[in-house]
Amino acid sequence: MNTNPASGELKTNASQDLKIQDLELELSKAKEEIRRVNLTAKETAKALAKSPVEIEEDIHRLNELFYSSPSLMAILIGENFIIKMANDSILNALGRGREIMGQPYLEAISELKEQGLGEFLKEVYRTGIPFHATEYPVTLLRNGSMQLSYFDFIYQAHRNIKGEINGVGIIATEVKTQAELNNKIKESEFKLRQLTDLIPDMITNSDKTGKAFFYNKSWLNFSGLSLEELVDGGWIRIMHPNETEEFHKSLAYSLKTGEDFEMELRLRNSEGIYVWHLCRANAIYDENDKIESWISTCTEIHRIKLEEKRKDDFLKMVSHELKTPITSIRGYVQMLLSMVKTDDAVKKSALPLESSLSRIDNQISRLIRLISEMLDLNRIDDSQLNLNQKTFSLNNLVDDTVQDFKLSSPATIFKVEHNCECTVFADKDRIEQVLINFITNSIKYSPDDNNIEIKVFLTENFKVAVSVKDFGIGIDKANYKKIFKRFYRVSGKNEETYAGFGIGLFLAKDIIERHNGTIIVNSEKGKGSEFIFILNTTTY
Amino acid sequence: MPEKVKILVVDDDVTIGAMLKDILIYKGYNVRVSQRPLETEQNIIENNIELVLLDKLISGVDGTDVCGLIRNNEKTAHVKILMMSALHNAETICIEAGANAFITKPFEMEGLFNKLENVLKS
Repeated sequence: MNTNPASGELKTNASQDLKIQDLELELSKAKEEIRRVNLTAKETAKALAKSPVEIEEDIHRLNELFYSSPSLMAILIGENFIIKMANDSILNALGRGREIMGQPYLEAISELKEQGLGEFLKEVYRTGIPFHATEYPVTLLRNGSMQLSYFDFIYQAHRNIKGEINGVGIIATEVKTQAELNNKIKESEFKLRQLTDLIPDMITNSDKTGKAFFYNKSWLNFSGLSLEELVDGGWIRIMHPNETEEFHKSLAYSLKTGEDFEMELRLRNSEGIYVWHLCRANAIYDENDKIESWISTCTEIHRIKLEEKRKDDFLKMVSHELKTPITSIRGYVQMLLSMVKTDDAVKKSALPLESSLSRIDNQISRLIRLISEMLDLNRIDDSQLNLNQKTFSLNNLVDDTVQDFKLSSPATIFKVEHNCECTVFADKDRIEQVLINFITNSIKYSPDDNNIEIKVFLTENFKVAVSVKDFGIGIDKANYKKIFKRFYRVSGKNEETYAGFGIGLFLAKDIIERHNGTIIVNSEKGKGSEFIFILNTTTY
Repeated sequence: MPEKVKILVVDDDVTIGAMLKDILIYKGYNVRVSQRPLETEQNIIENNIELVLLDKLISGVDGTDVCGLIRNNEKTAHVKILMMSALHNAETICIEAGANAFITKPFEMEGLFNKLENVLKS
């Protein structure tokens, strides 16, 4: 193909086709570009159109998260740690209000600086390395007083958009359990103290060396000493001197070995009277099984102790009283045995059988009476002492009883007076028991006089009465009531100058009262006594 | 037995007094019985007593006091004293009061005789 217009045209046509193709390509490229730009523009437009709202929402969400968080949060800006943001939680925990906003953190809460927390902040600000702490004790001024709290917290570097450190962020939580635990401990300690003050026992708490630092109220009440005086070793001073040596010895042993301490001792009360106590101390061990402290209690046992002594004395007298008739019985039995075995015909023929056996028999009756009295004591306790009442002559009873006494106490001179004929409805054996008791006492307590006067008479109200009068040692008026008490015995200079159970009058009173009667005592020390029982019955 | 030894029994229990009198007479002693402890010194002097068998617990009077009185009286101080009681633990007190020996009630008859002889020999 040559160059001619036609061909040029052709040529032109051909080149035109190419241009169109290029243009079309260009166009499609442009179209694509427009579409892309459009798309971008659309997206940009879309993005641009929504952003202010969304940003606001984002900020709101962040604020919400920040300000309503139960975690303690704050952002401090600059090297002076200006409080830029702080939520209510941290403000409450710090015990401060919104007025601290914008102020330097370490100045607004100066107590933190004093506790060295400023150093940690500065270190984080300088190095960017976060600082972690757990259950860190911090004392804060809250509600006007310094209060110890415990915190878990992180100090973290706060950076600007460029990544440069421009402050410190704080995220913390108050470890409340510790504080609550403390409170509970305090509350429980208060309750315990109250409890120890309420109980009548005297309680002390001592350190491991035995030195007491706590005394409960009972101690103060009993001793009349102040807590300071007691802590100053006062309670050793009020101990009976007879017991201090053993006390120190036992205490030293317990302190050394950790073994329980127990001792009965007398302590002087505020009135200067020594009172028996049972003192105990127990060691309290720490988690390493070492003695941490000692708790001791002193319980008053005075009455128990006196009762114990009275029972001891009673048993001693029971044994004495039972042995006395046995002594006679044994003496006669061994004498008779010896006589029976002897080869001496003269001695054998002179065996005093009748007199010996009748004395043995008497002593056996005495033993039986003593044993019955003891059993009666039990019956009174169980309210089983029943009366077996019948009609009998009181005059005959008195005569018979006196007759028996004349045999066993030949030295005693009895004067019996019957002012009336008295037939009564009562328990004959029990009334006889009372009469025997009165007469036995009269003989026993009249070492220097042999006379006893017995009278059966009617009272002003026509009640039947029997009186037994002696001229012996008599009784102080102050002791009138005591003599009817169980185990009580009239004491001479030495306690043991009179034998006897000390239960005779106690039983007599019970028997007469069961008959609805009364016992009257007229006595003068050194001149003698008169015991009268009145039965609540007129003569038949 | 050459000369009968004179013994004074002081006990407020009538039966024990009678029993002691019977067995001591049976043994060959010369015996007096008294229920009045305060007359003991006088009794010793008047009856030329060589040994007193003295109860510890006599109604209203403590035998150890009687023992002390005997020892403190020039005219009676030489007398042998054997004290007795049904109270346990009374021995030390009685010996301290001046008794030569002590015997617990109830006693064996032979035991009493042995004690008496020992005291009389001492």
